[in-house]
Amino acid sequence: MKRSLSIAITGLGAVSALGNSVPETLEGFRRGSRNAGRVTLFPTSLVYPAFEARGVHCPAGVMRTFALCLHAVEEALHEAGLGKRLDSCRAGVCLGTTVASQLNDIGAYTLYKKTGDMPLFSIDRYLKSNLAEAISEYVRANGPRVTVVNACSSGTDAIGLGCSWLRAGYCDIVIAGGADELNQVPYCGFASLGVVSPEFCAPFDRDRKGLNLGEGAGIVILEKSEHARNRNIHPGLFVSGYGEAADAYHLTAPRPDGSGLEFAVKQALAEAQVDAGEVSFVNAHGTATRDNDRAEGNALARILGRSARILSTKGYTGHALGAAGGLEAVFTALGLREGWIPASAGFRNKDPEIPFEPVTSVTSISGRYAVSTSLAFGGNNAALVVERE
Amino acid sequence: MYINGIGIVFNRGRGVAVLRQALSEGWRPPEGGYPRVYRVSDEAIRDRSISKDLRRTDRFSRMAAAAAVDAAVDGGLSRGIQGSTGLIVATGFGPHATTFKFLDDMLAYRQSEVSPTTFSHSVHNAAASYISLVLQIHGPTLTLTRFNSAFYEALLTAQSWLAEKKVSYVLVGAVDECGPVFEHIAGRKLTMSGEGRIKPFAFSPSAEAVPGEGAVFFLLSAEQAAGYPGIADFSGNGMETSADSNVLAADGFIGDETAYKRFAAGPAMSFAALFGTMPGQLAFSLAAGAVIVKTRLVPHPDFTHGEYESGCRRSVDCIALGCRGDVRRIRISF
Repeated sequence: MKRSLSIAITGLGAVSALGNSVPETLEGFRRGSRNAGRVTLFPTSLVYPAFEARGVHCPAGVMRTFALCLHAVEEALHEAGLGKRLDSCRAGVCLGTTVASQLNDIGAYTLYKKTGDMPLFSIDRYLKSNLAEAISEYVRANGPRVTVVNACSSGTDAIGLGCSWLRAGYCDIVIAGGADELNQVPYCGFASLGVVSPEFCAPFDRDRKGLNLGEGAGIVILEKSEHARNRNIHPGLFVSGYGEAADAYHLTAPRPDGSGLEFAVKQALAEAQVDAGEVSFVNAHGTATRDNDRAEGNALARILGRSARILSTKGYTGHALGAAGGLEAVFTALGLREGWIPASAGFRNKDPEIPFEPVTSVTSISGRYAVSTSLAFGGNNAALVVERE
Repeated sequence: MYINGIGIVFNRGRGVAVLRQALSEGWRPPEGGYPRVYRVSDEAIRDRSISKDLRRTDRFSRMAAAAAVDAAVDGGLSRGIQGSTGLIVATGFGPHATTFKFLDDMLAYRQSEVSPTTFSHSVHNAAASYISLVLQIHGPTLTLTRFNSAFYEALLTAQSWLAEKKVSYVLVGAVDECGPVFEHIAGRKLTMSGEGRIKPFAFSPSAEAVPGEGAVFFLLSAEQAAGYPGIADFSGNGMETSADSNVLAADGFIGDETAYKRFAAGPAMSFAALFGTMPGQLAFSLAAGAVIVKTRLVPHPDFTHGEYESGCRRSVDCIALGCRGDVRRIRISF
């Protein structure tokens, strides 16, 4: 078997402002739904629109991020035919997040400042919500488990890390991807950085004004192909390449020439044994910030040429931070499986500093390979090559 | 996979020589009054050689960068190969003191007036970013978290990267800080030691805790170098050990440490009383074990248990229990 077909995707799960399942997500893409508006999840004086996921119940005692994640995990496990418990197989859990790693409960902290005492309820909720630990406990996975906190590339890196674990033989199945809730702290934090748009975001557009924040979870069930076949599952999708590179440049800004991303994408293509010309489309990070889109756009154009089909799905979901890489890997896999990709929402005018225009309408896809990219705070660049058999 | 270099910052100071001295000297109470915390001194992380790149950073990133740079230097990581060097940082709670500083901003100012610098330093991977900047590492960079033992998964990942020849070297380490809020949380959630001393072999049901902080990094490669031992074996749920002795990460961090008992039937060591209670205890145990195996040092009796003889230790199992009773074992040996 070709090495690139060794890691199968046997299940997909997605929750975002687009919808609470893969079918709802596809329907949202078809309709061009942009379900953003004023924040309702917490009080704020800021008026930047955000993409909230609606309708996922969050039980008391756990963080919203966990609830979003579990919803997507259950959908993905169901598609993979694995049921809700994994204690009968060697299963790992590798999930990305940002919010669920931090005790940024401002209500509890306010009480602590006033009284010198933090409510035990808040402490316990935080301690129970380490994403990989909590999901692992829920599904009774007995393999390695860890939460990736690589900021906005966390979900992509979690999937790449899961692939490494499978190839190393640490486990046979990995629940991978990312989840994040919309939270007051990053909402204010990103606003303070001056990178949040007061309007709906417009990735790669000449007049883009910044990102919109979002939330959700994107989960893939990764499995050794042989293991899947032994369960009578015949996978049609695979993660065939992963690349990751550090800019070593700046804490928040990407390297302007995009060379870190270029290295990561080339590494992913090399691992997949795929030529750039074989890439059917790229689901780009495309946050709609000035710096990201310029650096990413130029890096992708250098690798793939100016006529490559490139889109950003953040116009539909907002930037879901630790969930973004997981969601976009799911969207990339869906594009290959369904044979079409949505329009890059928000784009109107070509930016002279970016050598291409993203796709502007629902577009048919016939190729085998697609790439999903992520850039992050800290100078992380990550890329996945997804393959359809 | 071999250890090529070690860097460490902890309560007693910075560097492998300080660690070796501390292993020989035995327990000392942590500096300062009550409640006792094994803090890292500002002096230990003041470093003029890297201060330009770190001038805006917090203590969390400074501790990590100091240990990472020392590990790279100890292992002879030279300029020009950073493209084939990976970086993995494991942490339990990340730069939480900076997160709370940002919350202070949010409470004190209008939401549109909070500090972007504080926010950007509150993300967990800020330390990895600074390490990659200082050492110009361009390879894969990960920050991993679990409240207990993310370091174990970090090592697993390092081994898979080296086996796949994704990189030639991996700088892997653990870092945790203990700010005032977490000191408070430790007081709420753990059984604290009044005298500031962890007695790791108590096992009934766990040692009394004394919060600690610090950073420890290892430069790893597929080639043996600098006389350090190799990391020979991993086990995510293995209960059997056959090394010359065991290093137990028993530090009072989990509620029930009774299961450590079976690993103390033979010669055993624990250095929690040196480092304090923290999520990265396994990484600190590994550093102590590696120095003992490399230098044939006999640790002070404060750190040993059972019939610990002064013979040469060719192999050591570093053992940590997870919150679900699972056992993480890392064997180092020549």
